[in-house]
Amino acid sequence: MTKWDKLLIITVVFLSTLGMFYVKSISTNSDNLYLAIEVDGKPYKTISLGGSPKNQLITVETPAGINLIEVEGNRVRIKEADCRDQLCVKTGWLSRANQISICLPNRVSIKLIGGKEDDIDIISY
Amino acid sequence: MKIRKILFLSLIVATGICLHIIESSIPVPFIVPGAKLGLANIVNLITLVLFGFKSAIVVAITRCIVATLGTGAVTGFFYSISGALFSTAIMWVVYKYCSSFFSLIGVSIFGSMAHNIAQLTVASIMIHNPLIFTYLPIMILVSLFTGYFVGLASIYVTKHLKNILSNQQDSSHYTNLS
Repeated sequence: MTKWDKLLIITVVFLSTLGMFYVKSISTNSDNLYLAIEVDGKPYKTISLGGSPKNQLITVETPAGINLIEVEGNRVRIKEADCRDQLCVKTGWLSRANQISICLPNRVSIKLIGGKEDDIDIISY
Repeated sequence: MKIRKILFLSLIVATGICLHIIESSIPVPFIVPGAKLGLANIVNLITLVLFGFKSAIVVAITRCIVATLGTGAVTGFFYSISGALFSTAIMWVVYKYCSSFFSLIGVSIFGSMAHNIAQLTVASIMIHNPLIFTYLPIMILVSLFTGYFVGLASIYVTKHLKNILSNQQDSSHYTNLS
């Protein structure tokens, strides 16, 4: 065990600890979900989730009708709609990236967009 | 000498296969999935020191192929062979050009880091997600300890094996005559 070995070990410990903190700071920032509200195919509003734990109600008024969108922590739903079939309300809560809920009569759609692409559910070794 | 070298290399490969299979059944008590002790790298390092780079590469490839047949983990084959080849190459470079600075412990630590980098590269290609490299710091931190012990073990083994090899070379002259 030469002094260069000790130097190498200390450097590696230092760098990897630094790297761990760096990774941690990245991963907390990039984990966010975004709620994208579209009306008639055009983006209407984008909201970042996770920041506010309390409920948030958004009213979307279109010429065809009114939709009430509820944001609660990391999940989102269309709470009320004045359309006939109420499919968007029955879709329920959206909590994961790429989930979508559409109110076709009012031409309103809400979609969750992940901060990072997450195609893989689980990895086994 | 050639037959003797082949014999020694095959003995080393057999030891490596045993270590590989045994260590694949040892659960590592760490949060990182897929972390292994890397005991089989002792074999690579020993071959590198005693027989040189070519033999070490041959030993690494043979060990990975046969140990895959033993453990039955085919996806593990790509991880182990990429790691073994890359770490052997790095260890050879460090051992050849920087051995005045680093002892075998330092060489082995370089090798274990190279092992991790190669394996994570293969993993990121396999699961199409470069974000797996966020594992790299903690993997390297863990591999520091295993690399240290691999180097320590190699120092003891090479010390004795060098004696045995040189003794046998001397005595081979007489045994051939008789």
